[in-house]
Formats: sequence, structure tokens, C-alpha cells
Amino acid sequence: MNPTLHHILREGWHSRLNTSLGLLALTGAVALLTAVSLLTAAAERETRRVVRDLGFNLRILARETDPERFFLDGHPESTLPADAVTRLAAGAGTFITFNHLTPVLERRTRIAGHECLLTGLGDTVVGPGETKQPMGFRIAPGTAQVGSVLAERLGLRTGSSLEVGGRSLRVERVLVEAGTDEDVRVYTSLGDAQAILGLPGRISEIKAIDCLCLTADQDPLPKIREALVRLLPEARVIQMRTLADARAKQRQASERVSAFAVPTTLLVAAVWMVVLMVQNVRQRRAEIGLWRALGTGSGRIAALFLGKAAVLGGLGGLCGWALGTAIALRWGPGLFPVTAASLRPDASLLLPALGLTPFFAAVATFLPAMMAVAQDPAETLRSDS
Amino acid sequence: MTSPLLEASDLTRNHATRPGAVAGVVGLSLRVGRGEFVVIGGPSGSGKSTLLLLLGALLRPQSGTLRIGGVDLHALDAAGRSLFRARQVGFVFQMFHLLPYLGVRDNVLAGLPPGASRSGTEADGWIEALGLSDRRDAAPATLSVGERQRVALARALVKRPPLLLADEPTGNLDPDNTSRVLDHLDRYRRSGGTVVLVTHGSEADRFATQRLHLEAGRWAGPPFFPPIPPSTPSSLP
Repeated sequence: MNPTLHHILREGWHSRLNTSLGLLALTGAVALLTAVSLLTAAAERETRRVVRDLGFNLRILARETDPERFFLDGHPESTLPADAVTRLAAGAGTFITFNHLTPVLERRTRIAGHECLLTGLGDTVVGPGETKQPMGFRIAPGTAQVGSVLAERLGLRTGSSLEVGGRSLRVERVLVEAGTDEDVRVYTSLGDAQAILGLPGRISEIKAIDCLCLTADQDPLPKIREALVRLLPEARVIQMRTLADARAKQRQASERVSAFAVPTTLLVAAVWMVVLMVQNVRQRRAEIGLWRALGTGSGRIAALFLGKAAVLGGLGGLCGWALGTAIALRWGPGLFPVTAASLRPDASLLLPALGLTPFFAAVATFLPAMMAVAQDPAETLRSDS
Repeated sequence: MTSPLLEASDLTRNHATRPGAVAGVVGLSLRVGRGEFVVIGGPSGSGKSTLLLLLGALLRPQSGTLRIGGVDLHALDAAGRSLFRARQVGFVFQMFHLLPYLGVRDNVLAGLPPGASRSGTEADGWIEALGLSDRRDAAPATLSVGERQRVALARALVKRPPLLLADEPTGNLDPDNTSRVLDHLDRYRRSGGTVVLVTHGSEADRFATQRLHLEAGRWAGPPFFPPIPPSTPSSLP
């Protein structure tokens, strides 16, 4: 075996306590970083999901929509052609401003003598290459989802048949009581709603989420309106400001936590490692003096210390990644229940853990080792061995 | 004096130890011939250890020159000095400075210069010659102080250096072990080696070919050359 490696391993075994503490510190630091990285990513995922579940905050309507009627009725009387969604989605830079474009056709109607809201939902369009889950429900043609109050009035249950506008729909689900107009609503596919309402090829609005990600003190509405004039001139947009603000604030709070947690953890881990390595070198000052007296060059002395740091760093990186992942998987799902299934070991963190930890441990050791090598041997050799 | 192996001229190295006090050596010159056993005495703090570190080129003098075997040590770069020391100079310390994580044999092997064969034949010879055969794999912590110093001596001698520098090598030993270590140093000298030993005691005087005394970093009085004790050439392992 190479004498330097032999000495590193023997010294590591001899100084088991120090080696274990060093390994523990490196493992702890990497575990902390791994766990924080995984949990921060989970927190951001959770925030995105929670924010998304706040619902759409933009309603894109036909330009001629009368705002008074719209707010009184809760839906526009005017309609847009259904291909407005595809045209908007195809526009340059659309998904910088808008996302989750969902065509909707909504009208009041009567079913078996009961007045209700009929909402047809089309497929949600997301940005190219995105794998986001569509917002809201996805309703298969020939099926319906029915609000709780309406279902009770009509005696509907899952699997029941619902006759509306001359079409027979199977009740896919009875929605839980929402305490809003959702409770008197019937959701169908867009095609079914167009057929029932006699409005083929038409939609009443496009629901969307703004994704400008501006800060809370910035108003995105002028930019949104400017973009829409360019992308879909026959439309106008209404922002549901309360939802939009809540969404922006929640997202920004999550980003602030991430921006604080990761660098802080990195700094704490770095300081921890430096302190430990400095301590190790200080304890071995007499040994450095001896190696110098034996005529050992600075390079080999440095290799003894940097090599140990690198070996410990490699082991600490591996153990820390495993421990950090285990911690995140053990406690993460409880902290982030909505996106718990997305919390998985992240192999992309293993490579930096294995590559950067030995490097960082060696860098942390380098300065104190060089200082010790440069130190007056009259001092270092005075230390007891 | 035989042809000089070591020539130190006007070496000065001092440093402040506390306000108003200076320790070190001032303007020391020394010539040591091959096969000599030089004993340098003096009280604690007189600069003995500093002088020894200067002679081994572990310390750079503030002024003066040092030649060993005709080579000006401080004309070499740091790597060159290290290599020279590794091949030409052995050190023995009062505190032994054994590597605590290596066994006896590996400690002795650690004294070999870079590139030397590590087959261990030479090391085994010294381990046997110094009476450590049954402690070959023992950890330093399990050795007596006498055994530790003999291991340190074997480590210094395993490369057969022309010059051996010993800093109070018997300072922590009982009379029996003191005698044993000094006998080994004398055997090494008689086999052709050169010893420079610093001590505050007088046990080594009987082996000395030249005796010097340091006081406050300067020679006190002229060097004394006692009659070389009767000896027979010694063969080492």
C-alpha cells in the first residue's frame, strides 16, 4: 500500500475519537445540507401546490363583456370563440405572463325545475415542456360532477344518471359542501356544455393564473393587460386581486425562507468543518515538526493531512447524504402532506456530496496545515508526542 | 580534527520570549569532523535546542552559514533542504516524537528517506540491535520510555546518516537506559558516524571527542578536546 495512504489509515484508526468526531461533523454538515435542500425543495413544491389550489386569479373575457352584468351574474354573457385558447397559447411569450389556460363555458340553466349553474371545462393548456397537473377538475365527456345542494335536491349520487338539456350524463362525483355557489353547480366537459347550451365552438371565458412572479409591492395588472392586447386583442382580463395577492405573498414567503435557509446551513456547515480541521491540525503540530525533521517535504506532509480530510470528506459526504435523505423522508411527509409523494431521494445531491465534501474538507485543512508546516519547528517539536 | 563534516559560521538566530528578554544563539561557529562525538552542554534556555535545529537546517539563521559535507544548506530551496536532511541527517529528541499510530517497525521505517527500499531488512537489523525484537509490532504507548528512545534512535539510524543530531536524548531516561542509549550512539560513531549531542547533564562527557558549553546563546570558554576514549571499531547492523 502507498505509505502515505497507509499512514492516513493508521492515524485515522489510532485517533478513533477524533476521526469519529470529524466524520460525525462532516456527516452532520452534509446531512443538514441534504435534508435542508430536500425539505426546502419540498416546501417550495408544497407552496406551489397550495398556491395553485387557491385557484385561478385571472379571468379572460370577451372584450365587449359588460362589467356590471358580469359582476352581478358571476359570468359573462358575451362569448369568445373556443380557438381563442389555442391562439393565446401559441402567442409569443404567453406563458411568461399566463399559465394554466382553461377554457370555460358557464350559464344559468334549469334541471328538473331547479335553477343551477352549468360549467363546462375544457382541457387546461400549460407552457410547452411543462408537466404541471391541470388546475381544477378534468371532466370526461358524458359525465358530470354535481354540487352538494343540487345533488340533494335532485336525489343524485355517484353513478346516478342526470338528464340535462336533452343529454344523459353519468354522475361521476357529488362534490363536498363548499359553502359557495359551487354547491348549486354542475360541471361537465366543455363539449357537453356547448351541446347542452346550444353554443358550439364558443366559450364564455379563459381562466388562468398569472405567473409574472412580481413582488408584493408591484402591480402586475398593467403588464398582464398589455400582454393580452398583443396576444388576444378581442379579449379583456379581470384580476381577482385578493387571490393574486395571497398567491404572491405566499410564494414570496416561501422563497425568502429558502433564500435564508440554504446559505445559512451552508455557512454553518462550512464553519463547523473549518473549526474541526483546524483543531485536528493543532493537535498534530508535533507530528508535523517530526516529519520535517525526518526530511519529509511539505508536499507529503500536506498530503497526510489533506488526504485524511479527503478520505473523511468522502465518507462524510456519503453518510451525510444518506442520513439527510433519511431525515427528510422520515419527517418531510408530515411537514408537507400535500406533496408528500414527491419527496424522494435526490441522486443529483449525491455527486456534489461526494465531490465537494472531500474538496471542502481539504480546503478547510489546507490553511492550518500550511501554517503548521511553516511554523517554527522549535515550537512544534516542543509539544509532547 | 578529521576532515570537517559540519561547518557552521557565525550563526545567529534569536527571538523575543517575553518583553525585554531574547532567547536563541548569537554568532556561533562550529566545526565538526567526521567520526566526532560532540557534546554541547549548557543550562536550560541557553540556546542548545535552537542550535541543534539550526545545525539540522530546520531553522533558518538570521545570519551566518551552514555547510554539511560541503553543501551550503541555505543555498538549497526548501525541497532540496528536506531531501538533504532526509538522506544525510538523523534526529533524536528528548520527547521521542514517535508516531503514536504506527507500531515500532513502521516508526523505524518512517525514518527512511524518500525512494529508499522499504523491504524492512535494514529496519529489522536496527530493531534487533537495539533489543526491540519482541516489541516489533507494539504501539508506542505500550513501550517503556527507554524502549521509546531506542525506537527513536533506530528511526534516526536506519538510513545510516553521516550526521546524527541528538537533543537531550537521555533527558527522560533512567541511568540504565541512559547508558544503553549513549553506548549505541558511541557504537554508531565508531562505525563512522558523527554525533552532535546537546544536554544539560554530564553523562555523555565520557564519549565526547569535543565538549562545548553554551551560556545565553554564546560559547562559554574555548572548546575542550578530551582524549578520545579507547575504543574498537564497531560494526552496525
